[in-house]
Amino acid sequence: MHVTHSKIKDFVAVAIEGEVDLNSSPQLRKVFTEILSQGASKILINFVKVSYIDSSGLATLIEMMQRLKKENGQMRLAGMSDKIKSLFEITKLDKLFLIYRTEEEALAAA
Amino acid sequence: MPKLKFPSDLKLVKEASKKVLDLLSDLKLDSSALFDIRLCFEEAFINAVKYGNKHNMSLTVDVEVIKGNDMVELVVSDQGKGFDYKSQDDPTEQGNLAKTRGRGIFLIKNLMNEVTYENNGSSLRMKKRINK
Repeated sequence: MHVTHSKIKDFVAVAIEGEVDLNSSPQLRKVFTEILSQGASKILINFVKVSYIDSSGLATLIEMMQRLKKENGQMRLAGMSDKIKSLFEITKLDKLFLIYRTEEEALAAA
Repeated sequence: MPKLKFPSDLKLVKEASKKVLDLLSDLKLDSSALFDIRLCFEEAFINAVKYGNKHNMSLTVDVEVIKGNDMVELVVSDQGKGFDYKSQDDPTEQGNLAKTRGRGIFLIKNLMNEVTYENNGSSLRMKKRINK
């Protein structure tokens, strides 16, 4: 997994490339902690290049969102493949997360 | 029927799933079926290492791959005492949505067509219908 982040408008956009799973989740958690320590409160995670996610990856995203909520922040997810989106739907995590089709739509949403 | 054995090491999960998928390569499954089989196998393998064998490297996770005419069947077994598989929380209930545990088994039950526990829960048999 490869993670990069950049500032877009008032969001920190996090682009993940590869697989978000048991073995890569600690790396994602580390990047997220760094971003939070820099004072970010609005985070957009771009899934366009995410090819696989498991229950550990989903749990890591939940944990990250909860940490952000405690800081009155917000997390948005965008660019999921149909397959990955279906996992959010099956687990009803689409009710917990703000999910957008594209990064542009996520940034434009109120 | 191919049988595989792996030490209880979470670092082996990718290697293990690759071996399982390699055994299915002649079936020419579509990417969605391969994703589901891989995910369910890896979730089962991780549970077997963590909760069944409790990371004891001297204990193995045993995997059986059975290819039927319209079904792929995987059996993932650990050497543990089993668990109370009948009393699993539903992670989709409102009060459980934000919990960070309990989704592995739920995904397996939803992505596979048939899931049964054997040996008090220390063996998980899961079947996926396929279109050849």
